Amino acid sequence: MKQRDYTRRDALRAILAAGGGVALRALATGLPASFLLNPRGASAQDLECAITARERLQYLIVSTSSAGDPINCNVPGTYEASAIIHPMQPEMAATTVQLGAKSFMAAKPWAAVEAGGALSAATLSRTVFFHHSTRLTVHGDQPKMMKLLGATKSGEMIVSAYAKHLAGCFGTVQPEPIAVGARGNASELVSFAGRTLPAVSPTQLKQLLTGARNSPLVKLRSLRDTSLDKLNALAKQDASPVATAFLDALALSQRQVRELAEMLATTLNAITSDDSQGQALAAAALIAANVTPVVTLRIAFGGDNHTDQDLQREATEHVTGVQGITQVMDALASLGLSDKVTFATMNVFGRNLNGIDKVDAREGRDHYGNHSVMVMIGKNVAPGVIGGVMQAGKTAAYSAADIDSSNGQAAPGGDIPAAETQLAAARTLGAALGIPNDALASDLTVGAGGKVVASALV
Amino acid sequence: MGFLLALGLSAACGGGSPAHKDSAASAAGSGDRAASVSAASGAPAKANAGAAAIPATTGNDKTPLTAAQATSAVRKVKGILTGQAITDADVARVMSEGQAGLKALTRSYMEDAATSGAFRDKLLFFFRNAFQQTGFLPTEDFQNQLLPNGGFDFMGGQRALGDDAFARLVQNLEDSFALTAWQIVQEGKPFTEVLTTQRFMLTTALKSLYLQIEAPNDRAFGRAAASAELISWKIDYSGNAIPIEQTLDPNSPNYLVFDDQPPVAPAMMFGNGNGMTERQTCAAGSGVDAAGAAITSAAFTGQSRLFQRLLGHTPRFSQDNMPVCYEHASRPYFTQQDSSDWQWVTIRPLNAGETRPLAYDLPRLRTLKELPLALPRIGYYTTPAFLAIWNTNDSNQHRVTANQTLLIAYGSSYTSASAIFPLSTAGLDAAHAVDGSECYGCHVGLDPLRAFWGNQFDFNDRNDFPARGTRMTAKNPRPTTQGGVLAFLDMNAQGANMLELGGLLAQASDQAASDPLNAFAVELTQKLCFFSNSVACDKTDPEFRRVVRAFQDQKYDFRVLIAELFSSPLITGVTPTKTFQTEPMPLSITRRDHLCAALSQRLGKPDVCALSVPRPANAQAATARLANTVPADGFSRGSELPIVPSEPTLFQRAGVEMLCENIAALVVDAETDPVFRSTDIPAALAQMLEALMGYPPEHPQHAAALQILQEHYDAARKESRSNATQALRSTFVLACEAPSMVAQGL
Repeated sequence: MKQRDYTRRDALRAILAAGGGVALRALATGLPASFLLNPRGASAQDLECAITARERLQYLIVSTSSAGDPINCNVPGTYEASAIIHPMQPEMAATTVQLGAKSFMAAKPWAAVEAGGALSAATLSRTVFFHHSTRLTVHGDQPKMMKLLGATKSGEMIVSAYAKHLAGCFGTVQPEPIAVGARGNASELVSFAGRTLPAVSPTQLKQLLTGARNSPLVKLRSLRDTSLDKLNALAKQDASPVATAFLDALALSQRQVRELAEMLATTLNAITSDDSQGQALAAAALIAANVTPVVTLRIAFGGDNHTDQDLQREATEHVTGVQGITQVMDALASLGLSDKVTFATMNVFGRNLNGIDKVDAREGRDHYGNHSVMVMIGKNVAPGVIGGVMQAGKTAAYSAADIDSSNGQAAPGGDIPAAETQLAAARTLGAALGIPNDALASDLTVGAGGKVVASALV
Repeated sequence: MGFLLALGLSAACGGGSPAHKDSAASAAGSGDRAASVSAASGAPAKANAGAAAIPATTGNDKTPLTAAQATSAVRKVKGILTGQAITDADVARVMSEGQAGLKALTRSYMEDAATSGAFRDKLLFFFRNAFQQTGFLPTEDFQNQLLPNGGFDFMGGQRALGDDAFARLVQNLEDSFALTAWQIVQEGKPFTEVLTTQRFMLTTALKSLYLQIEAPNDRAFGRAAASAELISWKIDYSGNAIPIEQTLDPNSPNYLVFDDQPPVAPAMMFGNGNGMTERQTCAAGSGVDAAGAAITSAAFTGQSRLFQRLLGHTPRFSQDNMPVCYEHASRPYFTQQDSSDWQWVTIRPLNAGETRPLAYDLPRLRTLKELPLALPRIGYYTTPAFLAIWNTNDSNQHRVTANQTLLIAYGSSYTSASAIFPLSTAGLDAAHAVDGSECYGCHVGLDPLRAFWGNQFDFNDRNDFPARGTRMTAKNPRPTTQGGVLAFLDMNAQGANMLELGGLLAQASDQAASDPLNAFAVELTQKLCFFSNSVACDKTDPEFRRVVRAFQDQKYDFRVLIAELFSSPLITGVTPTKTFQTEPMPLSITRRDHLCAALSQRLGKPDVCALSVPRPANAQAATARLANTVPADGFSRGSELPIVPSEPTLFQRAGVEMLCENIAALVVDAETDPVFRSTDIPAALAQMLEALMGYPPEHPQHAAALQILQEHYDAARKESRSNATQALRSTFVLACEAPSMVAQGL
């Protein structure tokens, strides 16, 4: 058997011969270039930009939650069936939402600002609601949802699969996604190539780059930089060329910290907490600085509302939740990123739409694996509703419908069975990010199912 | 003369430095976790007492080195092996005696009381990574072995856990095999025993966990089909203590009744306060049923949730839609001693008709030196931690397990170009591997190998093997045969069962055309190259092969490998060998664990980064968060190379700076046990330079570096009218992020 003996030199030669992209990332990430060539499930091809239609490429911000928020319950596509239960509060009143040429009813927060909602017309013009089923009912299965119930190869999370394709094209500092909303929730952490990635909260990010502004030690950083330069200069006396280059790299990284902090000062300084506003700002800043192609955050839409009298929490958090999406859009706009970033939601499961006593009494909702919704907003997204809900019988609970991939409509017996709709949503999101389906297919198991729904895309 | 002078100066100037001040702490390790390890392994004040002597080797080159060469070499070697700063004596010895002096020093780092504890800590860290025992998410990754809705899968999350028994057990899982390897090192046993050992360093809590993995599968809240196997037990909500002896006594009215005492430390979820105002926990007898009657106890079945009770979690009662008592934190049955009483335990096969000890029979487990189990436990590749990191399933069927085992042992695994055809293709998955396809080359070797696991471990790495499938579990009848085939490198041999795999793994050679070496020894040496240099050594380098040969010839005594490798130009770069013949040896950033070990050792503050604190206070959690932003060593699925970030990045720099700023307050004018005092600036600056930055008094740049620190302190005093404490803290940060601290190999 042939043994593979890597040296840094060999790896760099090979990479440079192939275009040098990985070498640059190796420099940027500190990971040996040879590792970048061979982490789990990430081949050299994965990390090189193999996408020709560069103008369609998008960064991704994903709002993801293991709480199983009832975001699925009040979106366009759930108001046509009268049996589906919605909160009755005025702020959640059924309101017309214009998605392209079609009008739908939805809870007021989803409507345009002009109609009393929270989304701008510009945002609605690139928003699609993709109804699907995750087939999961346990909070701890959030990682399984991210791995599309085993449909991704090597157990890779789908967001990490996207990231591998995008990182090479954008030349981001790191290929791994960054989770700014996971906080202490282990099941919401993101893994990449088999390794769980640490989360960084918005305030941590701010602290890392700017420090506590009133800290005496932070105020003395500039002075310390000068002293550090002197220590570097001292160390460089009689140093080998390799050591000198390394010391220069150390100095460069120090300058980069200051420059990044300065470049993003306005954005970072606006972060005051780890709430949706803070997460939106952190996500936008990380993308603006080209640190990562994918950021995950967490916007609440009612949480784990088993007990929710009058669905009040659901109502309250829908208002703040859609505002959270608006905050993401605003943060992106403030950094000129509106056309470069796609936003999406991916939750472990949805919640009962109807058919159980507590829902009918508006006293809460339980976990529901048979219906969920992915909200996608981006330049490549066509406004509308994909799929929908269906009822197995007159009194049965509503669940995600099969989808006809040719027009994106709910269609019993459609070529995308309900069980494959999550995969269809994931494939479609990939396409919305500019990743060709055949490229993404390499990250999915053979026969995984689902199809790209072209009508969700422009 | 210079050497003697250096020794004298070192003794005179170093006596008050933090590094020397706390040599006892160094010997005992750098933190609570290591201290418990030390205590359990019987480590006395002289940490290596009782250890076997390190065999001598020949071929020592005594060619003197220049001061610059010696400083660079000893700074790297001592830093990596102990985290401690160099002394003039270290440098002088290497200057005068060259490689032989460095080898002698390396041996002393392993043997001397002042350094051997620090050496052990570094090795434990290396072993955790090298044998892939760390990095799992306990609440998720143990749902196979300990089952969902029980074991480590706590309803209500970790907020509903009392005290720190769970956190300690998780650390035990990560440490167990590292300590096993360390004991093999200490006893001077052949290090190939890590492939074959059935003796493990375990704590009482770990023994309980091993048994729990073999408890009847009571998935879904004790509703398993085989209900006859499930025990019935109770929680007594009175809050009164029930001695475990009564719980275990069939004649006691409290037989199989477990108490519900509040945890010692305040918990987020206990009683009706602390975030549980809306939910009835029934803790301390507070519960009432719908009719208003007091709820005094609750009945449960199955062991998965009983194990949770041992860990300080009182499960919800009941699991239906109308629970009357919600989950909450309680006092663990595992004591702190149960997670620190490390001892050798032999795991042997369960005999026919033999009954296992009970996972909750803690009094018995505390004295048990031999554990009879149905599942084979051997080497690094069957530990619960390893199996949790590399969870398998009914599709993967232990391929990942087998593949990672090879990657650890040999640094390589099957490719489509694999030429060897196994003796037996039993287990070859025809669906995955069609003859002639690209996949065939991998599967034809890997599938017979994974049979070692697949024939004795169910897909959830338990002993379940359900004959019939259920809604939740696919059927997987117990195979009628055991064993598998190792067809890799020059090995092509069958093993009758899992216990024979290790012996096969230990036999492979690296198939070099001339002078072939043991493949495991070669890879272990390579892992140490990555650990130290962040790049691979050239396996064909004659110097590399000399080192491996010395290791092999000395019966795989790991300490010989350390002494030979770390005095070699492969690590020091003093003279070019084939590995660095055309490209010089690169430098690397000081990765997280190296940096934190160095800070702990040099400041005399055990676990200063708070990375091993089971239940960190807020300040410690903040320190640990910052430390975790510094790049660390790691490994990856399917990768032949370890993850060893080596280049400076902006986040690495920012993380180090923040960490140093955070630690500054702990060591400069701190309220308790300060390391540096602003009342004596000259002494403080000298300590920072010598004990922290590693510029001993005789270092040619000592005076210049001291002047930079002094100038910074003076300027900081003037800047913004900062006081002496803040100015000295800023100077500490400067020293902490100085090139000699953050660059390895400088």
